[in-house]
Amino acid sequence: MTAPTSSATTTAGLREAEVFSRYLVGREASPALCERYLRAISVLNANPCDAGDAWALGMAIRWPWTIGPLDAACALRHPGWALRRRLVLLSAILEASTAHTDDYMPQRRGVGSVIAVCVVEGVAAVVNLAMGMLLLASAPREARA
Amino acid sequence: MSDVIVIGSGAAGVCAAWPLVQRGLRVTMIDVGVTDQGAGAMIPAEPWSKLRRSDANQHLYFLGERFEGVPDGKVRVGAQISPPRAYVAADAPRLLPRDAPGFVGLESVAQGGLASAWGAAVSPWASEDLAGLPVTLEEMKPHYDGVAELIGVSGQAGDDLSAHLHDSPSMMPPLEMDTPSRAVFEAYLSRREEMKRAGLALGHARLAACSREHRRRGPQPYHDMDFWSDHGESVYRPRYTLRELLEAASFESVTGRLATRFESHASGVVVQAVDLATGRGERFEAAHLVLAAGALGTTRIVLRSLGKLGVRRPLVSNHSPYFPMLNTRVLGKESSDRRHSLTQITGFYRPGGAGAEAEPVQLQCYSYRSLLLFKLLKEVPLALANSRRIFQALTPAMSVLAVHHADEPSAEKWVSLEADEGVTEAGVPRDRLRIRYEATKEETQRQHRTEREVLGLFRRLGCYTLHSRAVRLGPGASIHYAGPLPMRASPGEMECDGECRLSGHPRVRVADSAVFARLPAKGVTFSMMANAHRVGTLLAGEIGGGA
Ligand SMILES: Cc1cc2nc3c(=O)[nH]c(=O)nc-3n(C[C@H](O)[C@H](O)[C@H](O)COP(=O)(O)OP(=O)(O)OC[C@H]3O[C@@H](n4cnc5c(N)ncnc54)[C@H](O)[C@@H]3O)c2cc1C
Repeated sequence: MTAPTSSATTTAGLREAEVFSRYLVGREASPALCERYLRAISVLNANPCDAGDAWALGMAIRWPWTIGPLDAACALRHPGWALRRRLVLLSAILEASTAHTDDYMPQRRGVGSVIAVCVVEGVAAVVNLAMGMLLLASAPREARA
Repeated sequence: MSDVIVIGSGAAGVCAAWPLVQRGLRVTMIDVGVTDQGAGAMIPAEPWSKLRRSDANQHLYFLGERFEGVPDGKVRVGAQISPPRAYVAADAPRLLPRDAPGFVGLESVAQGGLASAWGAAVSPWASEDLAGLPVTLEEMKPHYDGVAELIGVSGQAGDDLSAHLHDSPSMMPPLEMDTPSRAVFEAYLSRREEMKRAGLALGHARLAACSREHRRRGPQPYHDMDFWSDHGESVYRPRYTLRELLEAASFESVTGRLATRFESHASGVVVQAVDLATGRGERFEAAHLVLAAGALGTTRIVLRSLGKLGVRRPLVSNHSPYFPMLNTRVLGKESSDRRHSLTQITGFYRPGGAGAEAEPVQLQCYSYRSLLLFKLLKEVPLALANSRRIFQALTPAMSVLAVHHADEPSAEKWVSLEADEGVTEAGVPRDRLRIRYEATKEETQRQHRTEREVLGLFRRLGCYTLHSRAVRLGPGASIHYAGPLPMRASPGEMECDGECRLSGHPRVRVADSAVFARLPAKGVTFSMMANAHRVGTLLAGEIGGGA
């Protein structure tokens, strides 16, 4: 597959960056960061390589509520799929920007607060994984082949 | 004509050249010499936390202009080599072809070689580590001290590590430990006798890093940028010695040349090289040759020169897994921003306890921060939004423990040069280094048993991890290689004598780690540098230089 080129694909790509950024850090990345993300996809060729891969990416962009579950399922089962690669790529771009420093800097918290974060996020991660595995199982036959 | 040609400007090459140039001998250093093309120069001299908040261009060096700092696929060897240091491993696969399935080792054709990106942990070998070599600790000591002075070493003289490591007179005070490692060290000190009886000794890291000004370098700025930039020049890089060598009129550096083979005669040596800019062959002549192209690079040149294609030579490489640990003693505590990024604690563990016979393993304790969070999150099999919040809270209390094992030669660990006729368009020989490396089941079981014992002791110090969570990057990942041209009292073919002369070629000496038949758990580089200094000193004595 080739990198996005036309203005329609660029607009779709920018929207993808916004949606993914909302999932990763709870708000939209600036246009400059979204454009950096598009360039990174093209340089690293982070495009789907089979039908299942393309299905997961398309699903996550069309139904943003599925990003967390599909990300969790890909992390475990398909770390090389474009969805996971693009999310890692955007994480890297957000982290290496002044606008999102606090989203990635180590945080000092009290012991109780650390435990609370680990429990809450751990449970959420398990729920995400369960839903993601169900989503993968419900993918159309050609995407599962 | 030069007195001596040195091939390679890495840690071994510059240390071998140093005593020769000090004696006024004419030295020509031949090197490929790839250099940093700019990413390093754009990093401001500021602390990591400040750059993260203020530098709009940080993505250019943290991620790289072509995003080469965003890893793809599994964690690979040299994961700590950041975009500004990527030049260190660049071009080597093209110029030094290899057929080595499963062996993940790195080679370099950079100015300064691999040590332009190294972690600078220095561990002089003790008598037991030198056992079997035709050189004693007494003979090595002046060279350890000479190199320590040249490169600047810091550490705590007389601490619990002194039983394992020889203290050099010029050793500077240790670098400051960061908060998480200090907590581990204090826990160790509070249970010191019990830990020592169990075979564990910990101390401030011994580092080739200046804690104060030394030879126009240092002191350490504590910016936590040591994986990215060399501001302050506290951490040793071979190019600093190269800079000093270039001040001498008798020293010449010829770069952009790939040495391919040598011929040695009763009256001198001829080195054949390729000028990589033109692809044309060149000849360099001298009275003597010192090979310092890295253990694998030197082996390639020797086997090709001697026509020993397809002949297997022994190869050893330390196995060095990493264990991410939760350091419970710092959970919820304030962590100082003032820190360096290198190993904080050096340790040794002798299986069976203090009085036992077993060979110790070496330990290095790091903190995880400046290499950025996304690289860690990528490896965690959780949704990124959840793992980001978890690890933002946990990283201040995360430490990483590296366990380095000794390595012995065996029939399943070897390297050979396989014939392939002709040269590439750039004039590079097409032959390939073939490497096979397989540890035995018993070796692996013994290593795992020792690792479990170490992790058990670290649990008592408040650090928790699972043995199954080890990061094992595969054979060659320690980036410590030795063995193909071993130094022996009575050397055979393709071996070296006690002064590192290649058997049958008295004008050719090997100065890198190819001469060590086995590797103790202690990192090889400092001992290799001391031995290279010894090789240069002995050769200078033999030639009888002026000054
Ligand atoms: C990330 C990292 C961390 C490390 N940390 C540590 C540590 O903490 N402690 C430790 O002990 N060790 C460490 N090491 C290992 C250490 O860097 C190496 O052992 C050491 O640098 C090897 O030096 P060398 O001079 O033998 O070879 P190299 O560094 O490989 O240098 C070889 C030189 O020869 C030149 N060359 C090669 N072939 C040719 C040719 N055919 N013609 C002309 N020139 C040639 C190259 O350009 C280069 O200048 C680390 C390595 C890395 C990459």
